[in-house]
Amino acid sequence: MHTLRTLTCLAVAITAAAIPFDQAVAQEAINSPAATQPSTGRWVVRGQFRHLDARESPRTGDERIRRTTQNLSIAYGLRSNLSLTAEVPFQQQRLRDGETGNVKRDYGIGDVTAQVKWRIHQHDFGPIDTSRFSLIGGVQLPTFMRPFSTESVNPMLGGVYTHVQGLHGFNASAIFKLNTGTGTRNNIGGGDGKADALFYDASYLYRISPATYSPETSGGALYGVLELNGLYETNGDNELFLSPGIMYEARSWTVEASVQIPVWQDVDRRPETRLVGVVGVRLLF
Amino acid sequence: MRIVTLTFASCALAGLIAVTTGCASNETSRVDRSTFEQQGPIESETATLVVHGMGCPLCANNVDRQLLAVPGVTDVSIDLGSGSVTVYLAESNRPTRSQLARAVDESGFTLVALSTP
Repeated sequence: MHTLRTLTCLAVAITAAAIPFDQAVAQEAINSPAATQPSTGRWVVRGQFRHLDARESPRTGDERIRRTTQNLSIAYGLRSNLSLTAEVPFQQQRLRDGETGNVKRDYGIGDVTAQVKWRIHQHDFGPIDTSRFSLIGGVQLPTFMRPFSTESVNPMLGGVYTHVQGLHGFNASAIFKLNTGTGTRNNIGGGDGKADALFYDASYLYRISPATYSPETSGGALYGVLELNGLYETNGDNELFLSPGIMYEARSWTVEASVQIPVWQDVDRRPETRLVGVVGVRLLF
Repeated sequence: MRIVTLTFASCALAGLIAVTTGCASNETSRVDRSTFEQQGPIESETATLVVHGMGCPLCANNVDRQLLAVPGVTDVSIDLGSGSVTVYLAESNRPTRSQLARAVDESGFTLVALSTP
């Protein structure tokens, strides 16, 4: 089992490294999707580190839970309005048993997500102004790596709307995931339990600099980001985060950072999230 | 309960596909291209395109890359403020207007104007 896990990790890492890095699309928020995608034949690669700190698990009694995830997502433009995205989460977690005080560490790869994004509405009404709507459909494929994998095939469907006008960008999305198995042991962070999950997000981006674009200032932009990230599970659990962040885009690289602060929690069947820190880098070659 | 959820999800998916295939609207050009087809390679050293919808510097990279992949295009310069895209062309083997317009289509943005000096 250990050898199989190591081999799978290695295969995914090699595959990821072999895919050529290219460009990315942006005016995307940090923790939620946007109706943007790579153009025909182009690749978008995004790496994001997420550190999650959670309270005790009502199910297993684990007292202190910390999980770090490195999400690697790769998108490819099949057509100008159709793209394919694969996301691989490399994860490690540390659990402290509430009774014995023993600490358990786990490393592995969570379930791989494959998604198709199909833009069905586009209205470009100015040099940088646009409104777009895309459908998102996909499936979460199991890696069978405990405790990170749900060990089931879970389809998902949703939509995302993006509106960019002048200094302002707005995104709203909802994605429903049908969990067909029994879910992960702790369902840390939510969405990977036995119950089905609805991810609902809204984000606002404000271009801080430059105030106006010119030939000299078209090479980069600094954005302030404010997001509302919600997760409702059909067992009644619901969690909503306020996520302030900052993002700088150059023509060949982007950095982003965000903190997710819980503002409303009604969670009984999994650990409540205390705080999530997010740092992302996009390197463009 | 699970069967109800699955049935609901299937119906929602089917409905969504039926509705969206009937109302999909992707605006990619406001330029009359009928004249492009009869025209040969561009004779000038540059061409200026006006492109709308390039929401950010990295978005503009899609236009850059698609235009640079057209044979005969040597460089591209973009002003996001005006949407102006200046395309620099090689001495020989220059592209046609249709090729440049198609490259903008493939980038996922809207071509508003295409002119040459």
